[in-house]
Amino acid sequence: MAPVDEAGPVGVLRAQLGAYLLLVRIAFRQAAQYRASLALMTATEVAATMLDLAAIGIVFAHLPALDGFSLAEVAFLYGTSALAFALAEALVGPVDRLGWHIRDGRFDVVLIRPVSVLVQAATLSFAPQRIGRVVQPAVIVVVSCAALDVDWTAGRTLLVPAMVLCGTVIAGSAFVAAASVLFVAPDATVAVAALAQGSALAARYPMTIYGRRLGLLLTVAAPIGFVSWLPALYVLDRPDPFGLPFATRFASPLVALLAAAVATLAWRAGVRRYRSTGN
Amino acid sequence: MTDQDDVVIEVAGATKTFVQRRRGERRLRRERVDVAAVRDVSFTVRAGEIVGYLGPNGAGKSTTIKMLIGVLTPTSGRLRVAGIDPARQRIALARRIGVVFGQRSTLWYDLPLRDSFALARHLYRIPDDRFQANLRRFVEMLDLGPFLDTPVRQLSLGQRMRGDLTAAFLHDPAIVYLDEPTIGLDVVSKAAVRAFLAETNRENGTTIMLTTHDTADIEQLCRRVLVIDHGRLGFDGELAVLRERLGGDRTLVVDLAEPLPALSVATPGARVIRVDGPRQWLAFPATASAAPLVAEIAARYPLVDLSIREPPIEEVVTRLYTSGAPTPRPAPD
Repeated sequence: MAPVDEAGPVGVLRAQLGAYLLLVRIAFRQAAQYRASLALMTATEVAATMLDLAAIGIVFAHLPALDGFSLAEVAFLYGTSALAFALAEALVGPVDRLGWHIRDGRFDVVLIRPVSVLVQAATLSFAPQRIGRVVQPAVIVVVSCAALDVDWTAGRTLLVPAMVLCGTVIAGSAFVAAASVLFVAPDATVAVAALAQGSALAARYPMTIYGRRLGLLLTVAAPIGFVSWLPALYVLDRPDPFGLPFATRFASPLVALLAAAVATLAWRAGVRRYRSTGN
Repeated sequence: MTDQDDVVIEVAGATKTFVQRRRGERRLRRERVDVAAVRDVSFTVRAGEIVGYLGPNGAGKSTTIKMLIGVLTPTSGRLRVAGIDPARQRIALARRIGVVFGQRSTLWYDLPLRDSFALARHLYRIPDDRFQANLRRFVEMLDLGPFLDTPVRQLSLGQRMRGDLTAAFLHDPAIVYLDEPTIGLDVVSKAAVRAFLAETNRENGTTIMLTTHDTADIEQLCRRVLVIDHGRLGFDGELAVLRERLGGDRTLVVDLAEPLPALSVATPGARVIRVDGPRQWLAFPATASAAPLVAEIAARYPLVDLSIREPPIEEVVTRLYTSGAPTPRPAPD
C-alpha cells in the first residue's frame, strides 16, 4: 500500500476509504472462514432473490395498473427505490449491529483503532451475501426501463443513475442516523432495523397509495419520496399528484447532501455521548 | 530531576463524573445522581517508566485508563499523552499508543493471527521494514510460530494474550497500556508476558502502564506504583516505600533439623504463626530487620534452612484502602 498523504480533508477521506475497503475485504475473509455457512447463505440468498423476482412478476402480471400507474411504471418505482436501499444496505447496513458491540463492551476496541468510528461500524459484521440483494432490483430497473413508454432524452437517461446514487445516499444516511440512536439505547437494535426495513418497503410504491397526508409526510419529511418517487415523476413524465413544485423532481442531490449532513451530526453526537458516559 | 520534555503522560486534576439514574423515594420517579468515578487525579509519567496502577474493582482504574486512551472524555481536568489531548485527537493518539485488554481481544476473532497483524500493518501504516523486523522479533520472543496460522478463536487464553501483546507493540507505540494482562493465565504464560514487557521496555524504551491484581506482575515489573481508591489517588511512589509506609508483616520460614513445638522467641514483634513438622512460619514487622530474629533462632535451635517472604502487595494495598477515611463508593465502571 502506497503511503497516503493525510493532509487536508481529501487525504483524510482517501485514507478512510482505503481503510473501509480493507475492512470490507477482511469481513469477507472472516465470513469465508465458515465455508458451509457462507455457501448456504449465498444459496439461500440466490434462491430468495429468484423467488422474489418470480413473486414480483406474478403480482405485476395480475396488476395492470396501481393507482393509475402502469405496470412498467410501478416496476420502475419499485426497482429504483429497492436498488437504492439495497446498495445502502450493502455499504453501511452493519451499523445496526452497533448496539450489540456496545452492550458487550467490544466498542471500546473500535475507539482505540486509528480508523474512523463510522468506517469500522459499517464493517463490523459485514454480511457479504447481502450484496446479492442488489441483483433483483437492478434486474427490475433494467427490465422496466426497457418496457417504459417514454422519450429517452439525455436528461431522462442520466437521471436514472443519478437518482439511484442520490437514493443510496439518502437511504444510507437514514440507516446511519437511525443507528446513532443505539449509542443512547443499545438495546434498540431491532427497532432500528425495523425502521430501516420499513422505510425501504414504504419507498417502493407510488406515494399516492398512502393517501395525500401520509404520502406527503413520507415524501418530504421522511424524506423517502426523494429516493425515487419525485425524480421518477420526471422520468415518467407525469404530473405530481400532490402538486409539489416541479423543481422538487431535481432536488434529490440537495436532499442527499442534507441527509448526509444530518446523519453525520447525529452520528457524531452519538459517539460523543458514548465517550462521555461509557457503557 | 524531571525533565519536562521527558513527560509522556500528564494528568492534572482529572475528574470523571457519571450520571446515574436511581429509583427515587417516590416509585417510578427516577433521580439523577452524579457519581464521581475519578476525582481530581494528578500524576505524570516519564518516558521509559513502567508504572503499576493498583486499586480494588470499581476504584476508578479502568475509567482513568479509558480517559488516557481516548475512549472516555474527562468531565474536567487536563490530560496529555505524548503531547496529544486524548479527548480531541483520538486517531492521532491511536497511532502512538498500544492497548491490551486482558479480558477482551483486539484481534480479529475469525482470522489467523498472521492476518490480524497484517491488517494492523495497514491500519497503523507501519513501514514494511519496521513491520517485518518487529514481527520477526516478537514471534521469537513470544514463541508465536506454532500458532501464527491458527484462527484467533481457536487459541488458548495464553496464546491469545501473546498475540494481543504483539498487536499492541507492532506499530512501535511510545506508550502501552495493559489492563489485567495476566488475568487467567498459567504460570508459563504469565512469565512470558512479564519477560516480554520487561524487554520491550528496556530495548525500545516503551513507557508501560499496567493495572493488575497479580502481586508478581508488580514486583517483577514496576518500580513505581500508583494506588487509586474511591476515585482518588492514594499513593504515588516506589513499591518499597509503599510497603514501608504501610508496614504489614514479613514472614520468616525456618526449616529445623527435627519437628519441635512452636518456637518461643524473644525478638520484639515476632511470633510463630504456623507449624508443620520441622518447618515453622514466624511473622515479624516489615519495618524490622530480620537479622536479630534469625540470629536468635540460629543460636537456640537446630536451624537447617530459612527464607523470608515479603508481605503480598495485595495485602499492602488492602491496608492502604482500609487505613483511609471512608468515602462513598463510586459505581463500578
